[in-house]
Amino acid sequence: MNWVLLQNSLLVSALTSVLSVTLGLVAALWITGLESRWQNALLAAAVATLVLPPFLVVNCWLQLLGMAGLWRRWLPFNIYSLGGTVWVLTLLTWPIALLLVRGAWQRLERGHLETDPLFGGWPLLKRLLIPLGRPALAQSALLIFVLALNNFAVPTILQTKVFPAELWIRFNTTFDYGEALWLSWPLVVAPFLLVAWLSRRVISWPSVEGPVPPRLFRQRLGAGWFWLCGISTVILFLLATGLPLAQLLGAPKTWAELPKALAAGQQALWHSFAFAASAATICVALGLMTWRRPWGAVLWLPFFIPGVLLGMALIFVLNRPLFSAVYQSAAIVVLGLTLRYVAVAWHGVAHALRSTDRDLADAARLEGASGWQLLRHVEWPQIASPLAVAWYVTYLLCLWDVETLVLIVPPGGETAALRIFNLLHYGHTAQVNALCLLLLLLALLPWILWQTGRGVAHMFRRLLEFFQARTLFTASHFTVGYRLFGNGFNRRDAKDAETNVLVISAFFASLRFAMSWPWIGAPRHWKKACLAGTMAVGVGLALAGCSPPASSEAKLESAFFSRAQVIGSRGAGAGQFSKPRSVALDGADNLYVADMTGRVQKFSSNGVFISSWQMPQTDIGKPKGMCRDQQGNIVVIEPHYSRVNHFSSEGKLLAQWGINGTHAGQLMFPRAAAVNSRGEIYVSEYGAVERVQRFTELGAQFLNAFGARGNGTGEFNRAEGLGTDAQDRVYVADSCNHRIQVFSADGRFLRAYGTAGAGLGQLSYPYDVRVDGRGNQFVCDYGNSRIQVFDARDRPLEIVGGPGAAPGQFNNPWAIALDSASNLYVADSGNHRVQKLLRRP
Amino acid sequence: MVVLSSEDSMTHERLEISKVRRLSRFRRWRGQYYELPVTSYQLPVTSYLFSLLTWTLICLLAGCTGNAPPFVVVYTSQDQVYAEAILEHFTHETGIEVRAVYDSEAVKTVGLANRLLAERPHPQCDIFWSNEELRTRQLAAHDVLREANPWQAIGYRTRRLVINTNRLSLAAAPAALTDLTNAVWRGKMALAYPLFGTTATHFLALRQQWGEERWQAWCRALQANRPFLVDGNSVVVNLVGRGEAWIGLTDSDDIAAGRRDGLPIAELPLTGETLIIRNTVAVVRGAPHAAAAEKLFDYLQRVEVAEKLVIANALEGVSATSLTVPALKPDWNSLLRDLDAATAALKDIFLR
Repeated sequence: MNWVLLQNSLLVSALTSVLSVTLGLVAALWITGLESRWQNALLAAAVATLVLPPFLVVNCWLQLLGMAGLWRRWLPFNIYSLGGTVWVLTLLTWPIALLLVRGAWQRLERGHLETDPLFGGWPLLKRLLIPLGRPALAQSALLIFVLALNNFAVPTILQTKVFPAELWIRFNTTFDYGEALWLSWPLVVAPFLLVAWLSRRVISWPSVEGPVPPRLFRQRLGAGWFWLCGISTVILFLLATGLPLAQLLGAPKTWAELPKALAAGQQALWHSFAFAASAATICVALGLMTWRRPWGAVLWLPFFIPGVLLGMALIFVLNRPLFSAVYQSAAIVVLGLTLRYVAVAWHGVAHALRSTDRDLADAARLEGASGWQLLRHVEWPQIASPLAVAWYVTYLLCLWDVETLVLIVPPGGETAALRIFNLLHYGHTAQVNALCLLLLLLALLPWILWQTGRGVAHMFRRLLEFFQARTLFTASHFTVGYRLFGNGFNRRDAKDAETNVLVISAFFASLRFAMSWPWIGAPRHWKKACLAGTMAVGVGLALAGCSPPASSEAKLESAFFSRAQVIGSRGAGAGQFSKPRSVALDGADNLYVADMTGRVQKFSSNGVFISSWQMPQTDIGKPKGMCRDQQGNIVVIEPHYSRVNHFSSEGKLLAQWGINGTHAGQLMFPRAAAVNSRGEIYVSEYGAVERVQRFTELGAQFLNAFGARGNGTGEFNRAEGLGTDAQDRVYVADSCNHRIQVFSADGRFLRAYGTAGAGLGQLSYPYDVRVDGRGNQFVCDYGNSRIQVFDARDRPLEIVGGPGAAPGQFNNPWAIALDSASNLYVADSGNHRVQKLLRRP
Repeated sequence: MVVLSSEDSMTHERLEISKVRRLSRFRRWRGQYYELPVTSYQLPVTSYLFSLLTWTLICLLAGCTGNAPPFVVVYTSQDQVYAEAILEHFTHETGIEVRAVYDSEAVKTVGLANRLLAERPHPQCDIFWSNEELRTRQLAAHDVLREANPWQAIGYRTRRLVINTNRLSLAAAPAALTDLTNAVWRGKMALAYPLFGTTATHFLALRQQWGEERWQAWCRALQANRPFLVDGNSVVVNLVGRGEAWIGLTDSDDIAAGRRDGLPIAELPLTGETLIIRNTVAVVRGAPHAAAAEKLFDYLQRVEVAEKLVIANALEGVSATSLTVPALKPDWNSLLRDLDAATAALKDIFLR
C-alpha cells in the first residue's frame, strides 16, 4: 500500500469536492435569479461543461499555463502540480453541484421569501437556501469526490501521482484481480465514510405552491450578492466551457472531419444514446419502486468500486451458457451502467419523494385515489423536476462511461466514448474533436427533445381544442387503421401524406378524448373499457393493416429504361422476399427469384406470383447464383453444398451435380453460373479457390478452368457474377477488385475495365453483369446501390438508380437478369424486392 | 355479529393502542428512512408492473438475434480507423461479418487482455489482433490461446526517441537512452509510465540487456531527472509537439500521427536500444466460430494487410527481419518470468 499516493488522491478529491460544490452553489445563486430563458441557456452551457472530455480541458490549460503556455509569463502558476490538478478537476465537475442544487431549490416558494422583507442576503443563504439544498450539496460533494478519486488521466498528465496507478499496475502487468480488488478498498471506504457522515437526518421540504419568481429571488438575495455571484459565474463559464469549446470549435480540422466522423460513428452514437437513456430510465424507475427500502447506502458500492472491477464481476457472473442471451447483447451494457449509477438516481428520487406534500397525499387518499392516481395527480407534479435532474445526471454519467463498458461491451456494440478513446490513442485528434462535438450534441439531445416536445404538445393541445374531438372518435379509428398502418405509409405522393397528417391528428384527438374523462366520478369500468377499446382497435387495425404494399412504379431518367416496377415486398409469404440474391428468366420470360428463405419463387412477366419451391437443404446455407440452361431449365447454385441444380419451370429437380473440392472439376463455394450458346456452363468460385470453371451440359464433363487469386490480369478476388454475350465471351464481375473482366469462351483474357469508386465508370463491388444483344453491358453495382451501363467498348454510358427505397432506387442489389425484350430485372436485396426496369422501345 | 363487552372493548382498545405504539416505535426507529405519516399507503400495484416492464426491457434488449449471418468476433488493439477498413474488406471477400471490440486508451490497454482472461471459461472471442507482442505471450502463457499455431507476428513498429525540432536540433539530440540521465535534460523529457504498455516492455527488455544493477541505476537517474510521466505514448508526442518537453520516448506510430497533425517533431534514428514491437494475430482457445476464425487468421497474415497498415503509418514495416539496424532482442520467456520482480522495482522507483 502506497500511502503517499493514497494521501495525494484523498487530498485532490477533497479539495476538488469542496471547490466544486462552492462554485456550483455560487452559480446556482445567480442562475436562479435570472429569467427562465437565460436559466435554460446557462443550464445547457453547464451541461456542455460536464460533457467536455477531460483530455480536451487539460490540453487547453496546458496551452495556457504549461511550460510554453500563453499565460505563463504574467500568471506564474505551475499547472503541473497538485493545485493544478485540483483546478482542472474542479472545472470539470462543478456543474454537478449546480444541477443538483437547482433541482433542490425548485421547492422554494414565495411564502419562504415573503415572510420577512428583511430576510435576504447572507441570512437567506444561511438559514434557507443552504438547508434546503443540503441533501443536494451532500450528494454532489459525494459524487464529485468519487469521480475525482477514481480519475487517473488528469492527475497523471499534471504530474500528480495518485492511488489508482496501483490498481492499473495490478491489472495491466500481473492480471492480479484479487490484489486489485484488495487495493481498491481505500477507494471504497473513503466514500462510504463520507456517505455515513453526510446521511444525517435532513429536513424535508414539501412544495405546495409553484417555484419562486426569479425577480423575487433577486430582490431577496440582494444586488450585491447577485452581481458578485454573476461575475464569478460568468468567469467560471468562460474558463470551464468557453476556452475548451473555443479550442474545439475553432479548429478547422474539427469541422472538416465532422461528416466523416458522423458517417463512421453513427452506430456508436446511437449506442451511446440508447444505452445511456435506457440505463438512466431504469435507474429512475428502480428508484421509484424501491425508494422506501433501506439499501440506499449499499447502492453506492458499485459506484465506488473502479469500473473495470465491476466489469470483471459481470463477466464472472454472466459469461455462462445460461446467460448468453444477456451476456452477448446490449442487455449486459445496460445492466452494467444501471448497477454503476443506480445510486445517483435512487437518492435523487428518494429525496424527491420524501419531500412531497403529505397533506396533499392524505387528502387525495381520503378521496379514494388509487396508487396510480396518487402518483399521477399528486406526486408527479411535485417530483417531476427533481426526477428529471436525477435522470439527466445519470444519463450524462452513462454517456461518458468507459471503464465499466470496455470489458463488457458486446462485439459491434461500441459507444461513442469508447470510440473516442481508441482514436485518441492513435492520434486521430481531428476525428476525436469531431466526435466530442457530436457527443456534446448527444448530451444536449434530451433537453432539446424536451423543449421541442413541450412546444409540439402545446401546439397539439391547441389543435385538439379547436377540433371537436368527440365527433371524430369512431370514424378516425377506422380511417387510421387503414391509412396509418395499411397502404398509407407506403405511398410517397404528397396527397396521401397530407391525409395521413390529418388522420393522425384526429386519432390523437380521439385518444385524448378517451383519456380526458374525469377520473373521479365516472364509472371505472366505463373508463377502462373505453381506453381498452381504443387501444385494442388501434393495435388490431395496426396488425391487420400491415399488408404488403402493392407494386408501384416510377419513371426513370434513363436512355435505356422508361420505368421501374416493383415486384414483391418484405416477408416470408407467397410473393414476398427476404433478401433476394438471385434472379433468372425462362424462355417465356417468367421470373425466378431465390432468397434467404431458401425458396425459389416463380412470377409471370408482369410480376404476378405463380408458384414456388423450397430448396431441399438449407441448413448450412441458402442458394445463390441462378441462370437458365440450354434446355430452358433453371440452374440454381448451392454454394455451401458445392453443387449445381437444374430445375424444371415447375420446380422439379432434374439434375444435380458437383463434388466438393479444389481440384479441377470439383467445386468449392461456387457463387455464379452462366450458360453460353453451346450449352456449356461456367461456374465461378471464391474463397479457397478463385477461378471460373467450364463444363459441358449438366456438368457432365470438365473442360477447363481459368483465373487465380489476385488482382492482376486474369486474376480474381471474389468472382461474384457471370454473364455471356452473343459471341460466347464470358464476363466476370470481379467484385473485390471492383472491375469487370472479359474472357473468350475458352478462358483467354481479353480485357478488363472498372476501378473502385462511385463516379461514372467506377464500380464498388460489382456483383453481376449481363450483356444484351447490342453488346451493352449492365453491371449490378452492389456497393453503390445502382446499375451502371457500359457500351460494347466498355465506355460508361449512364447510371441508373442510386441508394434508396423508392421505385427506381436500390439498396445493395445482388443480381440482375435480362429477358427477351431486354427488360432488366434487379434483385434489390436490401429493399427485399425485385425491380423490373422496362426497356425503352 | 359479535358485540364486545365494555371490558372486551377496553382490552381491545388497549391492544390497539399498544399496537399503534409499537408501530410508532418501529417507525421512529426506521424514521431515518421512513418519513411518511402513519397513514402511509400500500405500494401501488402499478409499481410491480413497472418492475415487470423494466425486466422485460432488459430481456428484450437481450437480443432477438434471429437467424444471424455467419460472423466472427475479434478483439483488437489496432488503430480502429484502419482496422475497420481491413475487416470490412474481409467481410466483402468472405461474406463473414466481423464483430469487433476495440481497445481503449482510457484503461491503458488493459481492457482486452483482461477480458480474454476473464472470459477464458466461456470464450466469446475468436481472434485476438494485438499491436504488441508481450500481451499475446502473456495470454499464451495463461492458456488463453489455442495450443497449435496459437499466434503469428505481422508487421512491426519501434520504440523511438522524438524531439521537438523548434527546441532541439538533431545534432544536439541525445544519441542513446543512457544520455537521458544527463542533467541537461532535466525537466525536459517525457515518457509514458514505464509500468504500462510498450514503455513497460521496453524497460523490461533494457533490464535484460543491461543487467539488473546498471538498469536500476539508470532508472533512478532517469526519475531524478524529473521527466514528465504521462499516461500514454500519444500524450508524450503531444507534450513534445507543444514544446512542454523537448524530448520524448514513445512509439513510432504515435510519432507518425503527430507529424500527420503538423506537430514540429522528428524521430531519432534506430539504435541498439530500440525495441521492435511486432503486431500479432492469435486464435483464442475454444473459439466459438472456429472455421471463420481460421479464415480471418489467415487473412490477417496476408502481406497486403500489413502493407495497408504500413501505408497508414500504423506500422513501420511488414517484416522485422528486413531491419538492418541491431535492436534489442529480448528473451521473451525470461522476460515473462521476471515480470513481477521488474514491475516491483519500477513501482518503487517511479511511483514514489
